Amino acid sequence: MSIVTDYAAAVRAALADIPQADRDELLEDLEEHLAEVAAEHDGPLEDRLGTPEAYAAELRAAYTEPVSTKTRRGPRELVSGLERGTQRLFDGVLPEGSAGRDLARDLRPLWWVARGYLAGYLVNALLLNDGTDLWPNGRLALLVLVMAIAGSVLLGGRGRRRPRRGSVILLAVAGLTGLAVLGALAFSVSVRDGYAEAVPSASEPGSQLGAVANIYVFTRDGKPVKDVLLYDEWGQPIVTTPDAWGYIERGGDPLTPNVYPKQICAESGMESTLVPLCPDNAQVGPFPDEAGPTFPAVAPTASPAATPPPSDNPSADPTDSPSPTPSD
Amino acid sequence: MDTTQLLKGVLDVAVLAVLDERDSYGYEVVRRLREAGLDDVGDASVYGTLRRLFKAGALTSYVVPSEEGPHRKYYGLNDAGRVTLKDSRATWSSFARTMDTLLEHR
Repeated sequence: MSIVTDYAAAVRAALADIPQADRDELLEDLEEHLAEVAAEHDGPLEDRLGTPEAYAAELRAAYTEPVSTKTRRGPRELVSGLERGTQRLFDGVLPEGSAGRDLARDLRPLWWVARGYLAGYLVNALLLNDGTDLWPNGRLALLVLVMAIAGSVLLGGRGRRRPRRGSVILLAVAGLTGLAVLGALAFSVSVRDGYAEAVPSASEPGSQLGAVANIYVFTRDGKPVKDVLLYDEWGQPIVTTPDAWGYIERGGDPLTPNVYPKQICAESGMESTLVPLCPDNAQVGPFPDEAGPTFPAVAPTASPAATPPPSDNPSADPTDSPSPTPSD
Repeated sequence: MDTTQLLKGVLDVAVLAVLDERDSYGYEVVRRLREAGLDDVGDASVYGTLRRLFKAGALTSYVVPSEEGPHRKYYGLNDAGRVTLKDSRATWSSFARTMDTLLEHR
C-alpha cells in the first residue's frame, strides 16, 4: 500500500497552505479514493491520476469554487435589492442633509403604512375578488389588509433599532403573512372554480354556490324530486340566491333556505325549460301556483331525442317543454 | 471544444443528479459520471466537488464499514441539495435551450 501513502503524502504536502481543519475535511476521502484506484489499476497511480501536484491543484480548484447553493436569489435578497434601489432614487431626489430629507425621514412610517395598504388592497382586489372598494369587504379581506400593513411597517422598521431581535420577529410576521396570502390564494382559487365556498360569509349564512341560481334534482329514471335539503361536507346548508341572478322567488321558508328546487320564475328572456315565465303581476304580489305541486312542472323523459322546439309559454303547457335528459 | 472547461460549470449539478438517483461513495460517483458519458471528468474534481457541496450543506454523509478494502464514505442529497438540484436543473434547461437556438441559427 505504499504507493497510496506516498501519493497521499505528496498531495497533502501540496495543500499544506490550507488551514488544518479545512484540509482534514477536504482530504478525508483521499486514502479511500487512492486505494480504490490502486485496486483496479496496476502500475503507478500517476498513470491514472496525474502527478500528486496536479491532483492537489484539481482538488483545490473544485473545492474552492463559489458554492451554487448560496447564489440563489431568495425573497430576502429581492427585498433588500428593492430597498437599495429605492434608496438610490431617494438620494437623487432629496440629497442627504436637506430639509426635505429630514421631513421625509419623519414621514417614513406613513409611507410604510401606505405601501402595506396598497399591497393588501391589490391582493384583495385581484385574488379575493373583493371589488374596488377602498375598505375591505369581509373578514378575510380585512385580515389580509391588516397583515400586509403590519408586515410593511415591520419591514420598514427592521434593522433601524434592534436588528438581531427584530429579524426574528420579522421572520415570524413574514411567515404568518405568507401563510395568510397562501390561504387567500387557495381560497380564491376554490371560489373561482365554482365549487362550494367553504367559508360561510357573514352576510349570507350557509354555504354558497358559484354561478348557480337554483338546483333541480331528478332520479335516474327522470322523475323530479321535490323538497330536497342540501348540505355541504361541513353540515352547512347549501344556499343559492335566485334573486341575485334576476329570478323571482316565491314562497320558501327563510329558516330552511336550502330546500330545492326553489320555486322561481323568470322575466321574459330568462325563462328556460325548468324556469317558467313570471306572470305580469309577479312583481307586485305572489304569483298563483300554476305549476302545481310537481314543480318543476316538467316531466323529464328518459329519451335523449326529446328536444322539441321551445314553446312560447312553457308554464301554460308544461309537458310540451323540452326536458333535460338524464345522462344514462 | 475542450469539454473539461464546460464540465467545470456543470459538475455540481451532474454530481447532485447522480446522488439524487441513489447515495454513492466518492469513487462510485466518479465511475457513474464516466459511465454516463462524462469521460473527461477528473477524480480530484469530483472529490473536491463532493467535499464542497457537503460543506455548503447540500449533502449528507455516512460511513459504511467494509470487510475487505477501505471503509466507504457515502454521500446523499438532503433537502437543501434537492432544492439546489431542482434550481440547477431549471437553469440548465433554459441555458441549454438558449445555446441550441443560438447554434441552430448561425
